[in-house]
Amino acid sequence: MDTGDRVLCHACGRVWLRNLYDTLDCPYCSSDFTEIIEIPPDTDPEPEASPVSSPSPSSSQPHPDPPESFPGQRSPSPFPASPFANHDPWGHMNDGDDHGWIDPGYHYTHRTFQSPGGNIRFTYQLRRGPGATRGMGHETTDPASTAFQGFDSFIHNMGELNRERAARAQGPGSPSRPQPPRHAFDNMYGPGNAPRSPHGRHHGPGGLFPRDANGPQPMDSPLQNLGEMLDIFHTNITNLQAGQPGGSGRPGGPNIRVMNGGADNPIGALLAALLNISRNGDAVYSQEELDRVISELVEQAGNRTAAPPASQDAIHALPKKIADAGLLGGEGTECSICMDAVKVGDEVTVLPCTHWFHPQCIEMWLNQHNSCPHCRRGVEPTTAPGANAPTPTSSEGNYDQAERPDTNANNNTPSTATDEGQRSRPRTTSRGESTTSTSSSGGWTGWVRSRLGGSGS
Amino acid sequence: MGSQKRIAKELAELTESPPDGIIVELANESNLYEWKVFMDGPEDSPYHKGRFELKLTLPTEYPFKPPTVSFVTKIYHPNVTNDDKGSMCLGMLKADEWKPSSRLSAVLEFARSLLGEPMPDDAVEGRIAEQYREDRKRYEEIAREWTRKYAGGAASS
Repeated sequence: MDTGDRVLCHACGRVWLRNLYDTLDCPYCSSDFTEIIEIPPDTDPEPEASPVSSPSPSSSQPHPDPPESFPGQRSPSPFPASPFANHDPWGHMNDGDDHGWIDPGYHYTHRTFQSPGGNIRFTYQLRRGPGATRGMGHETTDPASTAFQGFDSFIHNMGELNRERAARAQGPGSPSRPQPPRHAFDNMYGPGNAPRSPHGRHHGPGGLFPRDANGPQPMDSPLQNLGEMLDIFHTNITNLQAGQPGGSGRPGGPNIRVMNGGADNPIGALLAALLNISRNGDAVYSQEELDRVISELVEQAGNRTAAPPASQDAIHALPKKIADAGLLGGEGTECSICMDAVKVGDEVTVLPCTHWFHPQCIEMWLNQHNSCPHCRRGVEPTTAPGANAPTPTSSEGNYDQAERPDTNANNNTPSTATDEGQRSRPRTTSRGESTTSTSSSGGWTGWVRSRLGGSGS
Repeated sequence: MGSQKRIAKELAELTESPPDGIIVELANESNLYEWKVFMDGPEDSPYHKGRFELKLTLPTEYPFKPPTVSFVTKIYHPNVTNDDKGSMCLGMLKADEWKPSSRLSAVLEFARSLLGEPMPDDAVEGRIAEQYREDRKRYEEIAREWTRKYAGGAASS
């Protein structure tokens, strides 16, 4: 008696019968992150009648929310490195009892890929059947499999690199985390237990082995590797930064570092790629982002090359005069800013270079640039030493402004770097979607920005 | 406020006594900040006999910020971007070189003189600049052809 599909809510982990509700949204938490599952994970047919029946915790946690440790208690395993080597993901499909639940026309396959370190895993569900009407959204076909295959090797490579790195870091004497032999999973498939997938893609060279999506998840702290790698990544960058104190060589100069993912930092590059995927191009690994950074810098540079504003003290210290015939005679009779005529008796401000303007006109200009609109001679003592009306404070104020961008760039790096390591650990859900994509700009972006010295100034 | 007064004044001057080969009008009578400029290609240049439409945009901070000049009519020139923006890179219009005492008439005259004497060292189209330096004849050929093709129509308004 097939009571229909079940729906699993990835947000709260509950399972209910699909045909009891009109929508696929979770009736318990209203999340729309739900998935139709064909084979009830650990539950028996009978209790399924009640929609409230919540599956056992082990199966209801498709995304590995981090329990502290759970070192392979599920089944005694001949492979100490892989506590789940004994686990038979498809065993229950061959089980006599379960047959009643499987529409013979359909094949449902759950796959979980696990990195060699055991801490990154990735699950998907494959459905093949005669009809396409049921289980909408689950028509996983070859393209998807291909994508997953690509991801397999990616994860695998990352794991390999990390392992090498860890081994190096720990030194030869200390025991690094034991890894399952490359093809250990071959042994896992007993004669009758070969995976049903005709593609067999997971047989690929990776040290990955399939897992049942609804089966028990390894409970050791998930993504520990990724977190460690992030830390390494940060450390690398920080070291690179520290090794190049030239960033502060030019006052106000932005400290630009475009990580090119060179061979000297493969983990950084890989992580960059990973983060780039999950974060919509945060940082400068894509052409787009590079363009954005460059245009930002060009903007800043444009502002910097123009003369900086004059200090208020300097502006107020400029002498005002009543225009007389002698003053007006030399250079026409209009203020060259507003182009209004200036008559004898009008008040004008005279700059050190003897050019004169309406007081309000020149003030507006000096609020933006500290030079004469005509001849560009500075109006402040630092740039025009012979000028009258200098005040020592004015030069200091100006100095401060020129220095500020650099100060910004050099601050706030150490603390944010550590914050980052924790905040930006992505978790993969059973669908392989990374949940970090939502944790946005404050973290990585801010970190990178602070590196670049932009920081919105 | 002040800027509008100055702009109106400059516009009046430019319409009353326009510089050689330059005609100025407002793109929209109600907006002082968008000008339409028609520029005749200088003699002795491959742009001769062409009439180019330009857009001159004034920032609200004018004259404290520089105007921008762009070609509406396509033109083959090292200092004008060969895209639909047609941006013209004038040194005097850069933020750090702009002086509020520069007049728009001077800006436009300078732009016109740039048609006659491109500045390949300050180019925005490097390929054209290179050609201008290395193969002047070919550059002039193309520039003339473009002028005929895009700016060759009878003087429109």
